Amino acid sequence: MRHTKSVLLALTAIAVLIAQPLTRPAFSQAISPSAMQQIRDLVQEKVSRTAVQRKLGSSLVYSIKAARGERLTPTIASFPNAIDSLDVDVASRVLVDIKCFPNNDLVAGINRAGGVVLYASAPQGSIRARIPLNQLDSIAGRTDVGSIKPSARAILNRRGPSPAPAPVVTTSRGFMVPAAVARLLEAFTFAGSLVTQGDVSHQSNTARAKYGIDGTGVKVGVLSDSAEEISFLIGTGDLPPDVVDYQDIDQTLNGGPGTSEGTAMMEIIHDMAPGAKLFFASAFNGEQSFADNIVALRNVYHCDVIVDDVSYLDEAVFQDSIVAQAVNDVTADGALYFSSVANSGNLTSGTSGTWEGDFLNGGANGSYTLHNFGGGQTFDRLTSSTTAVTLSWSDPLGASNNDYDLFVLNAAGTAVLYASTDPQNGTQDPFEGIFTNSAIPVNSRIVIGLFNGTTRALHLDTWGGRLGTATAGNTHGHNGGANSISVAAVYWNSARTGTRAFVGGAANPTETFSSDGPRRIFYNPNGTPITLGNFLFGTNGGLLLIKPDMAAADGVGCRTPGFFPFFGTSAAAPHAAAVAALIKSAKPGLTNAQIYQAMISTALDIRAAGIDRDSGYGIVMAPQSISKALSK
Amino acid sequence: MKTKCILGFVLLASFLMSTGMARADLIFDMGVVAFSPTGDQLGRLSRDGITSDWAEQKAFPGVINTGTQYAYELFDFNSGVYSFIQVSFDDPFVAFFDSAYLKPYTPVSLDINYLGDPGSSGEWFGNPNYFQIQVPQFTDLQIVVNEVSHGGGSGKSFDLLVEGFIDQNYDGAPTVPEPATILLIGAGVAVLGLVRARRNRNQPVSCSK
Repeated sequence: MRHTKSVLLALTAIAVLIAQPLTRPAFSQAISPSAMQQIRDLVQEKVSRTAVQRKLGSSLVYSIKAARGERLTPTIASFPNAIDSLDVDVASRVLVDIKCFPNNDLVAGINRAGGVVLYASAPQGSIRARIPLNQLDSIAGRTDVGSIKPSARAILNRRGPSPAPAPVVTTSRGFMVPAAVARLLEAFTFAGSLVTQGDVSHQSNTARAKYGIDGTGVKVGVLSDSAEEISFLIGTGDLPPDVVDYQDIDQTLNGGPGTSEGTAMMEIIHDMAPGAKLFFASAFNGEQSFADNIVALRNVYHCDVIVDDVSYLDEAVFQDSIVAQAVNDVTADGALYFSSVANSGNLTSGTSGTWEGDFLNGGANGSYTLHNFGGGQTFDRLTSSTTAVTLSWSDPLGASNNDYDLFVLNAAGTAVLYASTDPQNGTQDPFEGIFTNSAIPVNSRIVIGLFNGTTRALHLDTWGGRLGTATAGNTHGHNGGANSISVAAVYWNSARTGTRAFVGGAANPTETFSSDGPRRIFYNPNGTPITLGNFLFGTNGGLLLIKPDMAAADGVGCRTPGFFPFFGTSAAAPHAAAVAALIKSAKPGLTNAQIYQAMISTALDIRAAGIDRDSGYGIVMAPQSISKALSK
Repeated sequence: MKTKCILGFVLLASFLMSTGMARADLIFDMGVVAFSPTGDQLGRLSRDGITSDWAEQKAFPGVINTGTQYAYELFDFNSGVYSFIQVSFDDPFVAFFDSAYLKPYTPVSLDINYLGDPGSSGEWFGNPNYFQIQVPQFTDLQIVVNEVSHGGGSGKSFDLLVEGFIDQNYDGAPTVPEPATILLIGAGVAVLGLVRARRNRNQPVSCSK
């Protein structure tokens, strides 16, 4: 009897010992005490900031302290990446975005501090400037300055390898040609110009012939990084001689020329709608300039169709920020606006780098409540590297009262590698961002902490990275705006049948990198709630948008140097825009809504049956949509 | 009325002539085939990241690893009426490199008769890669598929597809009616003629209702 009791006791003790780790909070296993201490120390640093320091983005605070040789916290000497991630020119001036009341005295103050104002918008209360790092707090101390953040990064939605190096050996033709081939090609003239395969994929070639239209009378505006190759492409016949470059990239601001992706986009439109008149403006001179150029393409040049392929990494997720608001303005005025949906992957292809959902209490660490990503796990693992991680939550722009912070830990969970700890106390944006010029290591752990406030919907984005625990719903900003037509990408030869028209179905899936939707917004552009008091996914708050709207071709050949092939949703968006231009030229009196309806109602269904989160309504086709439009 | 009839026939003929345009023509599609080497070569073309296209002749990319033996397979074809050739290559194993040559391919001198290549093996997102070459009509050509590591192609498969176009707009060759089609059209025209002759005896013929 005693023996049985002893055995039972021993078994119970073993069972308890085995079960004990399961009952512990998961984060205590996942994140080491040393990393937890570092996070607690970082919050101490955050609360100790002066009123002036609280106007600066946390990465600027970290950089200023590092530059002065000040220790950041008792457990972290400095974040070496903080300074490296800033855009610093040869005069050691940092590119920053300032929320302020622009005035002459402020501009003079920036100049006296050794800085320079590059762009200013009084209506929007913003300035983009270069200012020496050690002068940032003096500028932030002014009463007419609200906040100073590192310049928002812009990215193109092109995918693929870097442009190939130019050939070394040249002849009068420009290239070394073996003798036998040279003889073969004697008296043989190369085409010079190239045509997108998308002209066949979308059947715009047959549509032009069938309906006798070519886009004549339609004005199309293109926004990308730059269009330096315009003259070359006019010479080869790939662009019309009357293309207008309204405002190209600011090379001083951007530290050099762009990639001329804008000409590659215009080539696609010119191939499919050769009669359309083309206009270009850069989207790379800051978000405010981007927004202003969208409006200029409509108000100055009266563009009927506008298309872009640029994303800013700090664009709002749950509300329209300035670029999306500019899209709202021009679409309300009668323009159609197309945008690349982005290239951050999708859940269907197993490439998602997005986590979207409501904050869930995962346990406390000092002043923080850590987010539970599911199953008690208080971190999400980065399974493919990236150079940016951003966090947004469902508070209105410029009025966030809930203070979330973002941390990236090493793979073992023993040390904090990066942190973003901006304060939110009622006047800031609901945004934290970690940016680096070197890749964030694979297997790093991403941690979200709620410092102060309540539960909100979260959107974590790794911008081309991948997450161990991922969701759908990547597209946001103006790329997934309510009034943008968001375009996903489908490889022109995805069916492996050569240069043929798209057939839809399983033969033409979206690219594995194409961002998915849907998108949920909780605020109107002016910051008023869409559903008062309901700001969560779980309670069906806000408004659900079908994004992307449609899909179009990518991977096509363009004459712009470095764009053969041209992959990405950057290439897809101009294909869809060109179809819209053809519809508009076929029946100029149609409204935006009628053209959009003609496009989506005749699209080829791909991915999940019906409307889906990867392609929206499916692949847009020229003849079918024109036929539909003409029947209206 | 007679003018209208002639106009109708001309329009019909124009339509029939034009049906060959604005479409892609397939020269051959191997489908998925297992690598079956034709022979071995020392060294292989450098993957320089530059894709050949119809705009201009690509420079010879150079030869690398001249001391290493690589198996290669040849695919012969004639360009026929096409001058614009597009080669698509689906290489899911990223084990091969394809290129185009004017026939004959000379494995000991890879620069001789070189025409073009895609600049890379495989494709970054799992799609077929492709390249373009321009040649005079009716040229004998060869596509060379070589493994990119010694023995690395053994047991692997790929999909090779070659298209021909008459211009850079991806237009196919105009359709030439088959003899049977010509006979059919001829018979139709004769019947129409007979009907018209009969009607002519009684009343004027009209194409309009």
